[in-house]
Amino acid sequence: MKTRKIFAMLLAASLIASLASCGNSTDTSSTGSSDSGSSSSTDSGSAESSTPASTKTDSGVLAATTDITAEDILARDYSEPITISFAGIQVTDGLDYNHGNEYYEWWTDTFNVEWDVTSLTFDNWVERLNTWINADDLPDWSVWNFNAGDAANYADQGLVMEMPEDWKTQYPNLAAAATCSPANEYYENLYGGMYYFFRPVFANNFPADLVTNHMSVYIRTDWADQAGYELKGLEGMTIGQTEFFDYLRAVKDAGITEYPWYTTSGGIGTFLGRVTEANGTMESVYYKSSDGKYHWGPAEEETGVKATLKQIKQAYDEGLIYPEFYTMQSPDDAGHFYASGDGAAAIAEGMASQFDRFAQEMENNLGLDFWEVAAPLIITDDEGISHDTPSTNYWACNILSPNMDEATFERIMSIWDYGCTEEGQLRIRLGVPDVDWKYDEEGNIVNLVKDTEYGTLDNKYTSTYPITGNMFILSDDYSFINPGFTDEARQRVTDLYIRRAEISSTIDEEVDWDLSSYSSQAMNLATMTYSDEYANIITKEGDFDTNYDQWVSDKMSMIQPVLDELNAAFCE
Amino acid sequence: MLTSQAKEKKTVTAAQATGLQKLTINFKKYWQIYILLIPALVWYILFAYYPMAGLQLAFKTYKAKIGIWGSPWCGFQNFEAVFRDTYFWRSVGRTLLINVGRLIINFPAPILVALMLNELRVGRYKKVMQTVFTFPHFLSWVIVASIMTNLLSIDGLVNSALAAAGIPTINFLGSEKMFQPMLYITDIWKSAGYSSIIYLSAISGIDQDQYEAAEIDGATRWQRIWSVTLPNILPTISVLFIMTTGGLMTAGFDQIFNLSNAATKNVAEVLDMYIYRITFTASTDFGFSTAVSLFRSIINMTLLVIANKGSKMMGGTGLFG
Repeated sequence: MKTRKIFAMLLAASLIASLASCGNSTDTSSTGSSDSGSSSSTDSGSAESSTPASTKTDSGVLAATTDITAEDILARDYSEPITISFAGIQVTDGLDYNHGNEYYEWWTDTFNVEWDVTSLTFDNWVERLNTWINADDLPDWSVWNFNAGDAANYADQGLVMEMPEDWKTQYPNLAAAATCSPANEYYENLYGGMYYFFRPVFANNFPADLVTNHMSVYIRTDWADQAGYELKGLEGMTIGQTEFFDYLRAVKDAGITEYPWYTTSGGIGTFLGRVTEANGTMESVYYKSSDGKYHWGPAEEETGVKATLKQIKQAYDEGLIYPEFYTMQSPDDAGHFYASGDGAAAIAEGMASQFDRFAQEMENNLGLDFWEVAAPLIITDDEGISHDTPSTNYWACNILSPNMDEATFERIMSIWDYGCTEEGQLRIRLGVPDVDWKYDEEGNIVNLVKDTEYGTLDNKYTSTYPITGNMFILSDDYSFINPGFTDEARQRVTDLYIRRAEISSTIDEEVDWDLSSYSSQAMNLATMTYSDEYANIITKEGDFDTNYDQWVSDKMSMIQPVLDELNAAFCE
Repeated sequence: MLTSQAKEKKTVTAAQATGLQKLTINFKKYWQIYILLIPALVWYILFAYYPMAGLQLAFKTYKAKIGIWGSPWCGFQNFEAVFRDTYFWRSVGRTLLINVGRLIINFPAPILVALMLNELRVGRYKKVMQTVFTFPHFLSWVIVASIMTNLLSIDGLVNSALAAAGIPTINFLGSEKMFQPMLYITDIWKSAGYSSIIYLSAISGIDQDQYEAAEIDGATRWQRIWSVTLPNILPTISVLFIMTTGGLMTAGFDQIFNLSNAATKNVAEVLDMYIYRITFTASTDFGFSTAVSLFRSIINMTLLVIANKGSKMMGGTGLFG
């Protein structure tokens, strides 16, 4: 008994040492999301982030100093073939994730698994997964858009698998990576067990002191010149909200394009999210004000929602925004910027992969050099502040079926654990060693795909998502140093994160865990898609102030019960 | 061999037989035909009646792990929450408004199509027209919505034509005022032809002697339609009217979901959309959603019974004759 206790203590000590690579993750900053593209938004607030890791390795990937190495994981017995069902977004329909693809074959051969993949889309993943969970019929492994309202209920009922108590010692590399998002620790404590694996956006390569949301605005700098408009924040990589509309107006007035801003309702929401507070588009719509009470963002002047919407409404009435933006789907909006070339601005992800994509599309479709004619910028309010929400560095979470057998469970966990090792990360990010990349004589990584006809790993293997690319640590982290991206893209994304951290509204803010994990029937009934609500107000005929005030008073009937609950539960 | 007295007794018994006895006699006589009913019966039991057991969720707090039957009862808690929500009542009002409009505008459309098709004299042309009118029924609402977007968007066919003619363009897709008319127009375009089949079949059953007699009496074509065709298909119209009335609280999720957008959302949240929003865009609450569904079914059933009674009271045909 005594020996076991000592052994447990030793294990715990070694684990603590191993987790150091991710640093303490409870003091937090703001939103990050996946390089693969999307950010999720819920009314109770979700996409969150933590202080980035403090330790870096030579190759820049997460190096958890654990007692189970990549070699140990690969040396395990995988002789029993196993089929693993997987459901996730970003699945490429028609792509064989098992055979005929060297990238994936290594995983299926090494771990002796077959993937049974179900494709979900951003439109249906919430409803499909919720239906499966409630039918107790989850695939073995799913990527779920975490919702605190459902999560507690699912954990309570055992509808998602609870990790065995020793999972951290069995799979230490995964456990180390999990510490990168404080949501893992918080919800593990809250639910009394580990049910949800929050996938960290950043792990070890983050260049700034504060994690922020990467959504950016892309501007045509050559058109600004042509229209004689000076972009004042260009050097500082920012554009203020009024400056943005002035730029659009100048481009329109110069007759360069009819509708300068092709966007979606979500794009409008993203813009609003970067220049106002508690707007409900990418963060919680409820917030604790200086009076210590919870408020509803759209109803309060201090959040700036009404004033900014009024500005957008004016731009819409002036014809600066495509008249039917509410019917537009992403990425068609950005397509007007980089493909048809009639858009003067686009709201899109501000990640290295996206910069390279814009550059490639612009060159192919318009014959233009992206870095010469365009610039991805940080959207700020007129005070130069980029608004954000304190978050916990994750985007969606992995969940496991409680009904799978032990062998399947162990195989999945081994794959995840390996994926979090340095060796696993290199294989995920760079592809097959000596085929897609190699070390040169000085030990530097040389990318062998970049100069081929494919250019990128994703082009060569159709998609490295979702099973490996976003297995646990998301691809955003490695993008800062990934030699697969162009130097310009990597430099820009690094500069943007550093700059955004300097001007973020969340520098001194902390995550409101009470609010993040709160759920009730009243809150459920008060759920709405805020970007659609705002699009409706923008397109509504008549006086804006009257329409907006009417909307606020109309919604208060379902909002007030939520505020009453929150104030009763968490405010004195 | 039966005596004449026994034969008489048996005849009397058959005449006096109760409904159940009649059914038994009928079943014995036509058992082969009754066997053909079995697949339909099985279908109804499996997919219509058995799922009705799930309605108990309206009075329960659903726990997936213990299933519908094992979940704990919660009385009328779900209904209390439903009835407290002002957006529920608004969606009820909107559903009724749209469907009453449908009853007035869309219900007569297939009758008119059937009457018009019936008046066509060239057989081949009639068949071609019937096919043309019926075809849109087989398109999904996703396809129809995309056609409408292409036609009616700001740079679509209609607005391009308007612009070319120097007429100001119209914001069809984002106008709340145009949303309801668009529902009716697309519904008529998609369904009127297909729904007219049942009326055409009723018309084909009309005794041709009646038309000949009317013609001999010098009735014009309009008079023949008014005095012969319409009275003959009135029972079919009555039955379909009753059934449509029984669906007044169901506004057609597919159509509205696909045709609506952020600009028209305020006029598009009918009951089905409300249920969808509550069930799938927020935390899942199956008890709440089932309570809304049950409420809708009860209202639909009540309307159906009222319409059936009304039709009978006015001397028309009811659902069951």
